[in-house]
Amino acid sequence: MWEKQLSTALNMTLSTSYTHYFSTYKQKQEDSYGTKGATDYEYSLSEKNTKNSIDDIDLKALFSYNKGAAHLLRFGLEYTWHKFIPEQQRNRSTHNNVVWAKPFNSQVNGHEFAAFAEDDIKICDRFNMNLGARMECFRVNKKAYFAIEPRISARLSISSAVSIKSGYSRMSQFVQQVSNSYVNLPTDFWVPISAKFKPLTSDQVSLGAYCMVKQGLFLSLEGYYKWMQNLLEYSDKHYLVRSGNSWEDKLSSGKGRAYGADLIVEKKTGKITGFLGYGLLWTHRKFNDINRGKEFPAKYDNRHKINISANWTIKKNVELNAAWTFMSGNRVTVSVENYKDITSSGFPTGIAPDFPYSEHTGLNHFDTKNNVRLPAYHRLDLGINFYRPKKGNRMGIWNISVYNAYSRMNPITIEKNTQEATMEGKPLKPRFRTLAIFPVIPSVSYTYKF
Amino acid sequence: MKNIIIFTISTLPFLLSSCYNELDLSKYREGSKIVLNCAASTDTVVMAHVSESKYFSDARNGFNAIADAHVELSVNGTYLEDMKWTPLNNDNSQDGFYISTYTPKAGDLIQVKAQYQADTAWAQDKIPVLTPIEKVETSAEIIDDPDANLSGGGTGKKYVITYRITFTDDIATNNYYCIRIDDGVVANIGGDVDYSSDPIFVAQRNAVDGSNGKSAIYGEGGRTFNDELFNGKNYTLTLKESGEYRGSISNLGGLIVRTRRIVLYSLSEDFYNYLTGILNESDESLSTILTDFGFIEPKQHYCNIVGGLGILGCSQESHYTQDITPIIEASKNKGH
Repeated sequence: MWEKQLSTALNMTLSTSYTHYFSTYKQKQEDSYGTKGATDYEYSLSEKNTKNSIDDIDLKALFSYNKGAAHLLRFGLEYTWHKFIPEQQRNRSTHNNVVWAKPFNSQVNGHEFAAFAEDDIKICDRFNMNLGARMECFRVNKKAYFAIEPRISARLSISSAVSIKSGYSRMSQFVQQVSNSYVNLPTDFWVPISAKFKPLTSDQVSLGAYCMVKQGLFLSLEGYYKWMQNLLEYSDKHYLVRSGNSWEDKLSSGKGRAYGADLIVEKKTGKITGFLGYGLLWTHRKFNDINRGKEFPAKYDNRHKINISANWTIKKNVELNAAWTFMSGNRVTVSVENYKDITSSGFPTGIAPDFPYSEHTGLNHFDTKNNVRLPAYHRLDLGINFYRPKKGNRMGIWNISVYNAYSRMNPITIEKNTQEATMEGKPLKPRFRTLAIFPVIPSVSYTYKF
Repeated sequence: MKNIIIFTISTLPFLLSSCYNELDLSKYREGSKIVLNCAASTDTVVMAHVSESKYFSDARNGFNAIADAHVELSVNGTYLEDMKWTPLNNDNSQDGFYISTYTPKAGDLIQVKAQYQADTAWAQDKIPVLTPIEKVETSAEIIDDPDANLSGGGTGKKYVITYRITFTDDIATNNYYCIRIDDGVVANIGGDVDYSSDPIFVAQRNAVDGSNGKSAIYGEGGRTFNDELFNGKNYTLTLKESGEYRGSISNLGGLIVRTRRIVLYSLSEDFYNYLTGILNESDESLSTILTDFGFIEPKQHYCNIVGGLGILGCSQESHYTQDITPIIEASKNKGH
């Protein structure tokens, strides 16, 4: 990064960055029969390589122009070169009659250009506006996508203590991560927009009221509504796509909407500071190829969220903090119903193969994606900081923390357990169990600031 | 020190609290649905099994057949007959099938409709063209097995039988298959059938399953595959069976039954999609384990039944039967 003051009002910042991400899997199967060199010696090999990577080189020039108190103009240019390799597969085999599909997904180059500007305008003492826009062009596979991202927000001060703020913004995204797991796995992959999939866009409107109840105590209430287009997820039948097909055939593009309201009470002064936040939220998704085209709740459709944070300065060099988090559980898909499969129905094996290890509970079924809400998530984190001033304005900070102080076992998944009896032989019914893995975790750290 | 001990003891229950907790999801019950499982082939009359889906915790005792449903068969768009409820003779669980008198022909469009109480479920599917097995070649070897348990009188060796199954795919259509080795009746033959010697099955394995370090690909009930890698060609599929070798053909340990039936099913696309979700998803695969634990989102099982669950699956089969005794004996005499 390089920063230069071009004039008293104009400042320039140039920056560049490079990031590289990749995951790769290689499955190699070798078989031999007989003794090497003998006439009946046979050797075979099958190999499958799967690769997923992203390389980004980013160049950015940012300017800020400060023309008195009435205007603060920020503008700039950005260029990013992306190299995507999303789920590339390469196969080889010694088998003569196998014809591998031509490797698809070989390198996809994306060129992203952006120009942006925003201006803070003070129209009068009681009315401020922020106007901005970002114009983007993303060129991939000889096709260019243009996106204009305007944003506007306005703040009207009704009195010295009360103000109203509203805003609208549009965002675009040219790369998305797709995953069918509830935990991050190396098999999750990032995909760029393509001839088939358009950029993800979202439009959000918001309206809020802000009030200073008394000196140092603030109250705000804000509501929002957000529309999302061109979201990507695995389609319901992605596992039936032939292995030679492109990754695009496994994905479905859809819409989303999110809305809700946030209430925040914040105390900024005194020995004890902190805030209380409450959110009432909804998030939905709708895809043609998922959930039979019907709208379903998103994974993070957490209806209620409460955050309480307090910071107590006990002495000049000792600080105690506590944070309590509560939210309705994430949504997960659980097959709550089961049914008989054909392989265990007793058909003659000539017309339907039997499966010797069929679960006696049958096949899994669920009507709706993300049909079950996990139990509520909550935890209390405690910490104490000891500040140790050093010579030359340096500072040593000892921190003792307790994560999840009351050891709430917050479930992360739901397991279908078919264990038939306890260790003592007591019969058990098939049952659902939650799995939680993070109990109370104490930690000690030392930070040295210089 | 006393305070530290009190603190440690008082926090221990939190530290050791269980990772698993039972959860009641009965409020998410979806209500039972009619389940129609029906198989049609040129080898026998059309058969159907009708039952109902259950809430998971109620599924412990299996799924009894519904005996008083109304099931009818149509062929090529024309109603043919009501299928007759036929209980299994030697079964006390009130299980049974609805059986027709019609044996389908290749290309027949089979439609089965089941009505039970207020529910109606139906499906249709087409009998595929048969791809016959042209040739099966087998060879065997007896090799040292470092994993063998010698304490039970074992020899520290295992037998490996290689099956090479040749057939010719029809270039004109997308074809779907299932290959299976059984003893003529059931798939549980004692030894393990490993499909990883054939590139078709290696290509099927997803990245998650490939990352668990195991090279074998199992599928005791058989495995499905399609013709995308050998469309229109004469293809030889390679499978391996292995098991503990106990020194003589009369004492082959796990090799309980010496007859092997190699079955190549030609499947309709619907039946292929359905069976793939059962046969190719071994309990031992990493993705299955992660799904069972709830880390991976479960897949909706393929179903072609309108108004219910299950499958109407059409197939034809070609099989080859072989006594493996002489192959093992020949291998033993070769001094492997």
